[in-house]
Amino acid sequence: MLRVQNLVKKYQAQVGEPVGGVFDVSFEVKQGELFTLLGPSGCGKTTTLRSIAGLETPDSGQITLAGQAIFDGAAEQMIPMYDRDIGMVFQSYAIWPHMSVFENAAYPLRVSRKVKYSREDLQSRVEHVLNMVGLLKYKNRSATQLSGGQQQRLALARALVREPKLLLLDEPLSNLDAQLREQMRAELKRIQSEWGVTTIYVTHDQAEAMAISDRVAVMDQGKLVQLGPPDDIYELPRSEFVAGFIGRTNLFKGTLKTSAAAGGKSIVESNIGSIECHFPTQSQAGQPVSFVIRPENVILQTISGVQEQNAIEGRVTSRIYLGEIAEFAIDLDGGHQLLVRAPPGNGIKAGDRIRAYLPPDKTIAIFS
Amino acid sequence: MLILVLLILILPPTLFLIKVSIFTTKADGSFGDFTLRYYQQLFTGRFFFSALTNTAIYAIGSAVIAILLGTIQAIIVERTDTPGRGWVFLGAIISLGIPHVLYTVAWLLILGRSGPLNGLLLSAFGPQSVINVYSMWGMTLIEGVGFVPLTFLLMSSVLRSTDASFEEAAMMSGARPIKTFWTITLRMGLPGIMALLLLVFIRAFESFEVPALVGLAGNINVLTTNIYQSSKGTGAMDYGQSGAYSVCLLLIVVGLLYWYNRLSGHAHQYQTITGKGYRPRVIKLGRLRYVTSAILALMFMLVTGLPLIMLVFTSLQPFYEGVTPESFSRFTLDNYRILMGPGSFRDSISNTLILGASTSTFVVPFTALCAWMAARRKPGGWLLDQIATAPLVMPAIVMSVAFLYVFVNLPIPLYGTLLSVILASSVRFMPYGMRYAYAGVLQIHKELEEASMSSGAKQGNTFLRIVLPLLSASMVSSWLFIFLLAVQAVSLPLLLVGPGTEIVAVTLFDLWQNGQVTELASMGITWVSLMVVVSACFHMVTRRYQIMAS
Repeated sequence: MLRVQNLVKKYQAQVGEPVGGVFDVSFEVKQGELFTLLGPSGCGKTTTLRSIAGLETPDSGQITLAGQAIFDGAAEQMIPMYDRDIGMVFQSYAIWPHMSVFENAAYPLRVSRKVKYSREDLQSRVEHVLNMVGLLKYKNRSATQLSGGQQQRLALARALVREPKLLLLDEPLSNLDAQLREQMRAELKRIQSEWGVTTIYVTHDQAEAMAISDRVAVMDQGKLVQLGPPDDIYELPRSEFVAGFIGRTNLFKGTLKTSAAAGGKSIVESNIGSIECHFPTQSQAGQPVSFVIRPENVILQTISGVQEQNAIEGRVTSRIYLGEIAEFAIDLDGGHQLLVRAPPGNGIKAGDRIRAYLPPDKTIAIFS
Repeated sequence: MLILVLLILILPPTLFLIKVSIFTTKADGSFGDFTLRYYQQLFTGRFFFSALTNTAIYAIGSAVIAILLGTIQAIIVERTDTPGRGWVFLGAIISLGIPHVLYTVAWLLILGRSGPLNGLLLSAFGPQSVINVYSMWGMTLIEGVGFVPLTFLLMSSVLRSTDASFEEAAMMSGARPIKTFWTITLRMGLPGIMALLLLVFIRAFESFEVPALVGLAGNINVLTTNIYQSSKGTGAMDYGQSGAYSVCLLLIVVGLLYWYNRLSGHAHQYQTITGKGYRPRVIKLGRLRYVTSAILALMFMLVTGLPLIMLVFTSLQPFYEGVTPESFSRFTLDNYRILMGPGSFRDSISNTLILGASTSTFVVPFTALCAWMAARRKPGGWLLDQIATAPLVMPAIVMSVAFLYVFVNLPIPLYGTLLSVILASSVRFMPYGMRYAYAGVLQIHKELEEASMSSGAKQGNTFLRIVLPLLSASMVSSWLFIFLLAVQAVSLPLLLVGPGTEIVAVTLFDLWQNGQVTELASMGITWVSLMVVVSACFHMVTRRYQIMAS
C-alpha cells in the first residue's frame, strides 16, 4: 500500500554535525494496517510522517502510495501535499476556530478540485463521518466550544471525510488527560478498523503503541531499529535500545562460549555467571554478547536443593507493592542488581535470601 | 508580482531623491550635470551643523521628558493599586485621536504670548516674568509631552510582559516589594526602556509639526524644517538643496534605526512572555495611593485635559485675544455654524476620511499577504518583507519631498490630487501594516494551515479560507491604527496637496499660519470628537483580541 524506500532528510545545524532528521529509512505498510512509528523525541518519526504527508521535502529516497510515486528523490518528482490522497490528524488538532463543527469537517470536500460534491452528497457524507465519531449532535456548534477529546474526534472526522487512501496520526493522544487518552485509544482503534483505512500512527508512548498497533517500527536517531508485531518487539528485542525503550528490562554483558544457531540456545559467560540464552540470530563463539530479561519473566525461588543452570542467588533489598504485582529489587551475589516483578502473595520480604531463575526461553541475547 | 507592485511604489521616490541631490536641476525640471555642489554647500555652510545640533538637543530632551512621564504613569497604572488607574487608558485613547498639529497649537495657545499662563505671570510678577514659548525649551516640552501617551502605552506593555515569577523569586529571597521593583522589575525592563528611549528620539528627530509651528517662529531650525523651507521656500524651489538635506536626514535615521533594532533585539532576550495564567504583581500603596491618584489626575490634565479645554474655549470665541475676564461673556457657536455649512471645511473633512479609508484599505490586505508569505518563508517572502518595511527609514518630510519629485516629473497629472496623497500614505504606512500582520500571522498555529493543505486545498485557497479569517481581528485593528495615523499626518501631504484636495491636518496647519485661531479650534474639536470614536474602536478591538504589535 505505502512503500518508503531509503528516505533521507537531514537538518543542518548552524555548525557541525547534522541534528535530527532521518537517515535511510525503509518500510512498507500493508492495506488496512495500523502501523506505528515509535521512538523518543528527535528520533525522526515525525519527520518521516511529515515526509509522507508532503509537509517536508526529503533529501532523497522514494515514497510510493498505492502504486503511485508521491515522492521520488532520483526523478526529482514530488506531488504537492494537497494532491496526495492522505488525511492527517495533527498533534494540536488544528481545528479552525472560525468555522463551525460541520464546516470544519466539510472543508476537505468544499476545496476538492477532482470531484464537485452536490449539496446533498456533501451533507450526507459529513453527517455520516460526524456520526461515526459521535459529534453529529454538535454539528452547528462553533468549533471553539468543543472539549479536547471532541476536538480530537473532529480532527479525525475531517481527516476521514474524503475517504483518503492513507490516514496519518501525529501523536494524536498526547494532549489529552490520562483517562480520556485510554478511552480515545480504544475509539481510534474501533474507527480505524471499521473504516478499514490504512493508518500510520506516530507516538513516543510505548504502551500506546503496544495497545493499538498491528505492527510497530521502532526508530532511534533517525534510523529504523526494529520492525514487527508488538509481541515480537517486546519479547524479542534486537538491541539494547529497543529492550530499554520498550518496557523495563535487566541487561547483562558477557561473551558467547559456543556458536549458536538462529533460534537456538547457547551459554553466555557473563558477569553474573554462565547463563543459557535464546539466540534470535546465528552467532559465532567468542563474540561479546549482551542479554536481557524482563522483570516479570524472572522466577523467584526459596533457596533449597542443588542450584541448577540459570539460577543465581542474592538478597532482596526492597519490595514495592503495586497492587496486582510487587516489584523486588535484588542484590545478586557478585554485586549486580536485578529487578523482578512477581505476584505479591509469594511471601518474599525485603532482607530474604532468594534464588532467581532466568528461564532460557525468556533470556534474549542481543548484540551491542 | 507583489514584489513588482512594491518596487513600483518605493523605488522611484528613492531614486529621484538621490538623483536631485547629485544632479543640477534645470528650470524645466529635467536633470543637468552631475554635481556634489549641494552637499558641499551643506557641509561648508554653518546652517547644517547648527540645525543638526538643534535637532539632537531637541530630540534628546523630548525623549527624556516623554519616557520619564510615560514610565511613571505606566508604573502607577500597571503595578500599584491606585484608584482610578483605568482612566489613564481613556486619556491615551483620546490622545490617539488628536492630530499632532492640533496638539501643538493647543499648547501654543496655553503658553503663548497672550495665553493664560503669561496672563497670570504678568499680573503676578510683572512684564519681565513673561515666558517665550517659541524657544528650544518650548519645542522640547511640547514634543515631549505629546509623546507621553505613546511611551505610556509601550511601557505598560513592557511592564505587563515581564514574568511575575522573577519577582516572586526575589520576594521569596527576602526582598521587599520596593526593593524587588528596583532590582528586578526595572533592571529587567531596562533594555526595553533604552530601546523605547531611542525610538522616541528617532521619532522626535524626524518630527515636523512642533519644529514648524514653534521652532520656525522662534528662528530655531532643525533638519526637517530646513527641508520644508528649501522645498516650499519663496520663489523657485531649491531641489538640490532639499534633496541633499533629505539624503543626510535619511542616512542619519537609517543609522539610528539600525542601532534601535540591535537594541530592541537585545531587549527581547530579556522579555519572557509567559501568556498562561500570568498576573502581574501589584504593590499595595496604602494611603500613598491617593498621592499617586493625584499624580495621575495631574498628568491627565497636562497631557490631555488642558489642551482640549483650551481648544474648546477658543472655539467658542468670536476672535482670539487670550483668556481675559471679558472673553467669558463672548461665547458663541458661530465657528461651528460656519464649519457645518458648505465650504472647504466640509470638503477637507470628507477628503481626509477618504484618504484614511483608502490608505488603510489598500495597505491592510496587501501587507497581510506579504506578511504571511514572509512569516511562512514562501519563495520571495523574505524580499517582500524587506522591501515593505523599508519605508520606515524615510522620515515623513523626506518622503514628501521624494514623492513631490516623482509626481512633478510624472507624465500623468497626479500632482496635487488626492490619489497622490493616498499613494504616498500607503507607502509611508506599509511598515506599520507589516508589523501588525506579521505579529498576527505568527499567532496562527502553523498546523491550522497544514490541516487545510492536507485536506486538499492549495495555497491560495488556504490563504483565503483559513489565514484571512483568522487574521481578521488583527486586520481590523491594523486598519483602524493606520487610518488614525494617515489622517493625522501633516508633513507627508503638506507638499503634495493642492487646491480642492485639502486635508484636515494640513488645513489646521494653514489656519494657524493665517492666524485664524478660532476657526482652527472649532474644526479641531469637531475632528477630534470624530477620531476619538475611531480610536475607541481601535482600543476595543485590540484589547478584546489581545493583538500584539511591536
